[in-house]
Amino acid sequence: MKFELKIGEKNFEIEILETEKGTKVRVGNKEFLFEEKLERKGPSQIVIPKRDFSKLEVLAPISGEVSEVLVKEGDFVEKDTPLLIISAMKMENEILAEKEGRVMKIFVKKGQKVKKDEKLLELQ
Amino acid sequence: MKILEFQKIDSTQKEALKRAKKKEKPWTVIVAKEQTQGMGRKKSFWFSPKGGLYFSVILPKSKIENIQILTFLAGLVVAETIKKSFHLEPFIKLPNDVYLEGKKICGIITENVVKENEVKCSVMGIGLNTNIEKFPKNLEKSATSLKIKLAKKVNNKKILKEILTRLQKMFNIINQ
Repeated sequence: MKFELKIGEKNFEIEILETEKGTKVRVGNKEFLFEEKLERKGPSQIVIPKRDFSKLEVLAPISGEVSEVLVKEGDFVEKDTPLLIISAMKMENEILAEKEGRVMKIFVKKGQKVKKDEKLLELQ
Repeated sequence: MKILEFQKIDSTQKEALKRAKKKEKPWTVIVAKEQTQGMGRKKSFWFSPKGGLYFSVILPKSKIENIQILTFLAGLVVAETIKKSFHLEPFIKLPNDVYLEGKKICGIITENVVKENEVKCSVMGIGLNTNIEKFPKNLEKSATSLKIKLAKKVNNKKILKEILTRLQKMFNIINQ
């Protein structure tokens, strides 16, 4: 299903597709996947499953040194995308995204020492 | 324990991590006779010609603090194997490099995938210089092998079995 949506002065091309993995919503050149199926409430009403827009702080699981930052602010990440690598005691720890979202803020940089539970980045 | 042997591979660590992320069973071991891109720490390479013992173990799920202890103890396990099997006196440079008479004989690397403060999978890679006869010029002064020290060939399969047995025992003790 395709349609155009106007918000303020901006026009957006929207496409909604039902796939095996769930409901895909395409906005311009960006895609969002909702794992639940669409719920049809009537001929002209569609209820899109709610998306969780709450902030998520990604914290350091251990103390160590940030050896790689794999994303940048503004990136949209899927669930399980590797975000950073923290080195500690000759171990490399790849930190994955708990859920999909946009990287709003990165609080650390490569080479920086971090303590356990220190804020690494923020997703929304 | 499932042991998958390769004649030649880019990296046992890369292969094991790829399989671990696809939920390969714990205690699956990838071992190779030769590596073309053996992994060291911080994107360095581990010299991996034919003759050495190169393997990576997919570890069972564990708490992250326990994995930290295990990576330290892995050095002890390798040192103990060298000492008991060959009556040599290895030295551990903390946290887990193993040296023999001032030259490095073994490197260990551990990679964890962490999500929501939980270790989703863990892979430990060990590169032990067993039957390497000669090192390149840039490593001659800093690396050695069991064959150089003992002036004879050693049995890689037997050493692998001993290290894995000790590692598994250590893992079970830590995670009790």
